[in-house]
Amino acid sequence: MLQQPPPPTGPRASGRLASSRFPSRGGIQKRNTTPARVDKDGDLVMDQAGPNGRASVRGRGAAIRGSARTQRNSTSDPLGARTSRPTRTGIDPSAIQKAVLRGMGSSETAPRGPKSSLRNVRGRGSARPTDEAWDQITVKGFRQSKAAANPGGGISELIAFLERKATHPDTPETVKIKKSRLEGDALIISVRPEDTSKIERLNKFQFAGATLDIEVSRRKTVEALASNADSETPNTIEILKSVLSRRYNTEAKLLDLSQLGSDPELINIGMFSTSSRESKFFPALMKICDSIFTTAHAKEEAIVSVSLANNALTTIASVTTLSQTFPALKNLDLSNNKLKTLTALEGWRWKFRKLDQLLLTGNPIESVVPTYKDEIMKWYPTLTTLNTVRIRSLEDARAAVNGKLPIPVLGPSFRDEAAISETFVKQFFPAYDGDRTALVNGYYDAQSTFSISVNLSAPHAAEIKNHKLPGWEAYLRKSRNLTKITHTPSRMSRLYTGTESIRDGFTTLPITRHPDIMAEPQKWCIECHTIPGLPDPTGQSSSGVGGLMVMVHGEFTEIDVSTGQSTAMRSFDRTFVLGPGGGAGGIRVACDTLVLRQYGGYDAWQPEEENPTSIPTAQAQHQISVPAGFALSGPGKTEEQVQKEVLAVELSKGTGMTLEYSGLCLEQCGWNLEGAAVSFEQAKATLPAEAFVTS
Amino acid sequence: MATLTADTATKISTEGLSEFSDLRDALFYRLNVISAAGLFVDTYYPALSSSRADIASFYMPASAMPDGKPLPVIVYNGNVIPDPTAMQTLFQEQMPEARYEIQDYDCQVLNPHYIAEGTQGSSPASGKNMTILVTVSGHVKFGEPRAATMRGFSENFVLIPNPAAATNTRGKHIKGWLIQSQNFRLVV
Repeated sequence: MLQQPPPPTGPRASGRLASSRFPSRGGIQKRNTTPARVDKDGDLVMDQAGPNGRASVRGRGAAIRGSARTQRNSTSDPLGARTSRPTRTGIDPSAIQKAVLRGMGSSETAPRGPKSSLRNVRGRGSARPTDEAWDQITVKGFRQSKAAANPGGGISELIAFLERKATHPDTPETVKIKKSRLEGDALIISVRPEDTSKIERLNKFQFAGATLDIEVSRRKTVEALASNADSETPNTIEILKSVLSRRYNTEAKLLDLSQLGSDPELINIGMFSTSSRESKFFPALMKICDSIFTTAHAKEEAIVSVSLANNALTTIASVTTLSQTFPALKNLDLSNNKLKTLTALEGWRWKFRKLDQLLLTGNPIESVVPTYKDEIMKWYPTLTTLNTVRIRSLEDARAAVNGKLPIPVLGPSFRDEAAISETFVKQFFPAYDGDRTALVNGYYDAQSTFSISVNLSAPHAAEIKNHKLPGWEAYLRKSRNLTKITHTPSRMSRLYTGTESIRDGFTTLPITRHPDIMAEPQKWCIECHTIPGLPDPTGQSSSGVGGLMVMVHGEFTEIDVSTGQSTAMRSFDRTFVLGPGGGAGGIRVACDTLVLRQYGGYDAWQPEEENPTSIPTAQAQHQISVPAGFALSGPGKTEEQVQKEVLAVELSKGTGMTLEYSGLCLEQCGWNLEGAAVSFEQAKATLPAEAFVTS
Repeated sequence: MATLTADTATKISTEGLSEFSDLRDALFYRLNVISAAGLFVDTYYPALSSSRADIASFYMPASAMPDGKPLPVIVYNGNVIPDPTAMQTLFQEQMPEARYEIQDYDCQVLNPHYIAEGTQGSSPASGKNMTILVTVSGHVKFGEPRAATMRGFSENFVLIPNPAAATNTRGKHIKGWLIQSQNFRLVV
């Protein structure tokens, strides 16, 4: 699992080269530190923090003491994420960070633990790697083994067994037990911290017929650290929670997980001291996020943006659980990582279906895959902004989110001619339920055609999903579904032509009851329009005569004649072509096609609301008060400054934001007024009240 | 037109057509109509998904009915689309990704003896002087295919012969049938 790093040479020097010397297939790596931990599986890889190489600070659970506390105290530092400075979200997470930091009067480019505290930690753990850094593990149970009878009590066999079993067969490095000593029935062994978990895994293994009991008895370095601190023992979960809260910006709804590898609090608890711990770290962090929120909605509300910038990620494999925990994430910052190809991002190809903004700047992919932007645009149909550049309109993105059509669902397009269709439909369906023979005699003639087809796989209404669906036995032998019926004679015979044939067809179909068109109009969608080219019954015109297409979508129940009970509910689509003829009202049915499908309800054709989401084009100007001299030339003021102030006034008038916020917003958008207005639209819901001019 | 039963259809196909002129015509039309409808369904829906630049080519040229109403008639969820170009533009520029699954289609001859005004039509033996009613039932996913919900739709078309195909002697690939009327409705 673990590619063995070479012995530490110098803490800083080797660290700077970490990524190039130990090419990793993935993971988060801390910069400027000692040997890179590389997980062969591409799992989370974060460099350990301490300058003491393998003798890194580590520990878990109760073993963690003062160091964590020290770190918690340091969360009061001004760069901690719980800043009171209101920030914006939805524009550019890194810009947000910068804005926050700028506001705090710092020159830092990203929030992180203060350097001083990092140095403190280093100072404490500055011992060179020695055997003091080895972990101690207690192994019991071997006395009951058959090997216990061997010369030496089987100890050498046991050690060989442990080393062999702990070493992964696929990795070149072997687990070595550095020291061992007997204490009664227990063998105390010392191993490098990297190997501890591998030995731990052998707990309950069978050794020569005996079950081994393996327990880590001492994590040396943590104890060393803890020895000069008080005895408080927060557990890892609490520490991770504190990391999360420190890195969460309430106002911006931003979870800033950038530069994780240099987070002192994480380093202190040895999060990155072994690849095994590293690989568990991010999933654990995500689990805690999940546990904090009781509902997915609450999570979605609280965390809109996540930054994973500056983590030396070569693939997203180690942080892939982010997409499970935050599937509805709007903004994601992956800038300044080592992402090189689209494959490195493939794991998120179908995730983040609501992603609005994505930052990939500062990754090799920019030069390696010049077309990556096109591809990313295809991957995320809701994405409007890539690398702070607008790539898609809000409308298009919204349409993609909802699968919403660019044109609304309207009520029926009913373009009748002399109320012919209306009269026909109102007479047809009651007659179809009541007296089909009379119906056929009244409207159909020798050239009329009728066919019925059953769509067995049609989607059905959600409300009947768990009900037993009625069968189609009564229809299947008549169904002319041409996707299913491929045998020519069947295709031919299932078309009913002429009065007699149609009457036979109609009267052998189950008895139905359609809802009353006048009483329950919502259950019907009836459309019609005129068409030319129908057969001329007089035979005079080869180009045909005018007629009407009538399209009816609706539902009916089948009735058991003997009991009068309804036995099944179905939906139908029926298309008629009406032409001039000798039937009732001077019309005839030229064609009649009936499609039956599982009940699908009638929501689909209810007209949509009048475009409630559209953004008003003309915005009312806001009243703002401009300080004297603002946006005007003055002594000591550059022309550029004046221009910027003019723009800020413009934006402020348009958005109602304060001049200060308008300036911030403009700065993030390169002093492009239009871009700033767009960013404002995206972010305004998340802006604090103080961002706006009080009216 | 006479009614074709399975028996006569089989009989015709095995005994030849000479003595069944009416039936021959009927069979001819119906075989033609089914293959025309099948080909239409097999090409039109893929075009809506992946070759939207071809959409307009499925329609008869914009013209007018004798009473001045525009042809072809295109109605989409109650919206009257003015012409084929508008339909194509709508799909090319605004419509989200769309995946169709055709679960059922059926067709009938609407006018078995149709020759468009001002044209000669095809030779009577070709069986192409007719108009066809096609009805389709299926589902469509708009937007991101894996995320989108399945929407049931019902759609019907009236197809008319393409006059250009009748005079096409150079073996060029020209659509035999064009849309004269179309009505689409989401129904689930």
